[in-house]
Amino acid sequence: MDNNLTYQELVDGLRTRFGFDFTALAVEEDSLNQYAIRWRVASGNLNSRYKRIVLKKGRGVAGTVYKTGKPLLIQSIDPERHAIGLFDYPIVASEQLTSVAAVPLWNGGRISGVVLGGYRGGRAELTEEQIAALQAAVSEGLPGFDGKELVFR
Amino acid sequence: MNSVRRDQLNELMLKMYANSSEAILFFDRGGKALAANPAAEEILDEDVLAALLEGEDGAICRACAGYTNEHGLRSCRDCYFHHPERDDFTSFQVYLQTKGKGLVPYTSSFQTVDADRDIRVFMLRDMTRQFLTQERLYENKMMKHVIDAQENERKRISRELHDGVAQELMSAVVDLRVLKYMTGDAGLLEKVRQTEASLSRLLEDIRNLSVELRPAALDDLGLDAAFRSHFKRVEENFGLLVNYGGELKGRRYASEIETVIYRVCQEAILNAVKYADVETVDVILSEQGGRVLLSVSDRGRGFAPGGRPDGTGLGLYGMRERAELVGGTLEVESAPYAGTTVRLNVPAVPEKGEG
Repeated sequence: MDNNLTYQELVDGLRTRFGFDFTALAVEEDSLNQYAIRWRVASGNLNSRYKRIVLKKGRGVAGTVYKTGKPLLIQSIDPERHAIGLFDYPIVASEQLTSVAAVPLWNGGRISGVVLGGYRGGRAELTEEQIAALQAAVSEGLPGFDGKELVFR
Repeated sequence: MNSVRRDQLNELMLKMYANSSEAILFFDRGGKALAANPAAEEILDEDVLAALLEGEDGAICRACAGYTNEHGLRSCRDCYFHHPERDDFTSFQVYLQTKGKGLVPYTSSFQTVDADRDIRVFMLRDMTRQFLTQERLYENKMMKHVIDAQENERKRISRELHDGVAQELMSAVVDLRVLKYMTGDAGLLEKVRQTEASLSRLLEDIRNLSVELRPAALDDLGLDAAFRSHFKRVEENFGLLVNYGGELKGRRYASEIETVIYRVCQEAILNAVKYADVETVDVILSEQGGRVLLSVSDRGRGFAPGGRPDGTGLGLYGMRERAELVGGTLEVESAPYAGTTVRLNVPAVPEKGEG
């Protein structure tokens, strides 16, 4: 899609700015009335498995953020101890991440994208402050996302 | 003539006494041991043997841990030794505390060989190997039943979800669509549309659940179809691309054979997803000389066979177990950084029934 270049610049920039090992952006693809979520661009990836992963709402890192509308933080994943990585979060397994955060991208009051950042090899653990900073960094000026949240009062 | 044969028999009996692997002990009326052959000396503790030869009271009980009767596995009730009037101890199982080997089960007989002088012979044959064989046989049988039961239960739940729950939900979705023709209220219609969308997602989830439990395609359409949809799911779920070379041309095999092939392939691919760190896996399925051959190979990290497994190591064990249950073999070829190949070879038993 046309915005791919902008998205690529965004994830590359976020990776440098936050010092992440891996960043990626997922968008919703509406095909045949089936809501599927795919990782569109990535930075610092080990392989191209992320491109083939198709998530449903509620599945995977991006699917969970989609469903809940809340940022997701998994501070520490030990592949020796946590079997969750593989089945629940395929991106965590294929990119060998040990600390992951993901925030929603809003458009017209609904979520239509997810940005993920993470570390490998237990190098560092993400914090709540980093999530807030990440959320702020992606909330404005991104084509295709107006940043307007749906707020019930 | 007769005397020669008697001599010969004497010699043979003596040789049997000296060389048999069966322990032989002779006892007199009072329970005193008259003789014990080398095999008996081998298994009995020296002290116990000495006490037996002395005719010490209860000496046998120092070695005997009980015999199997209707009251228990190791019972002392109506003891064979202390009830010489009973003549039905021609074959029973007894447990002896042996020298060096601990508690060992023996098949034994205790019978009178000289009625005039009331001499009895106690013969013991070690049953350990026989018992181990039986246990293995029993374990294999149990494992087969467990796997069968698991497959059948999955099949039942999968069918129930697919034909029952999913069908009901489908008709609910259809009912909901009828609402469109019953009202012009735009707000209501929008709500109905959203509900229909979430019900459709639910329907999709139930179908996926059903397929993950056990694909109906495996029973209805065969391995090719089941594999193709499975590989599609592997690609979407884990980003792993499977290059599939199926040469069966729609041939069908007995259900348990197809199940073994499917499950082994599933497990091998899952291992590649978990440990190989690769983007593609090659799967080849073919039939040669009455055998079905499945090969799942990757060019990934590999491992040193026999080393400490990354996971539980149960996956490989389970694959081999499944293969052996249908008379097949499983080979795993791997070396660090040289990839892994899993080869399954099972008999091409044709499908039962039609044909």
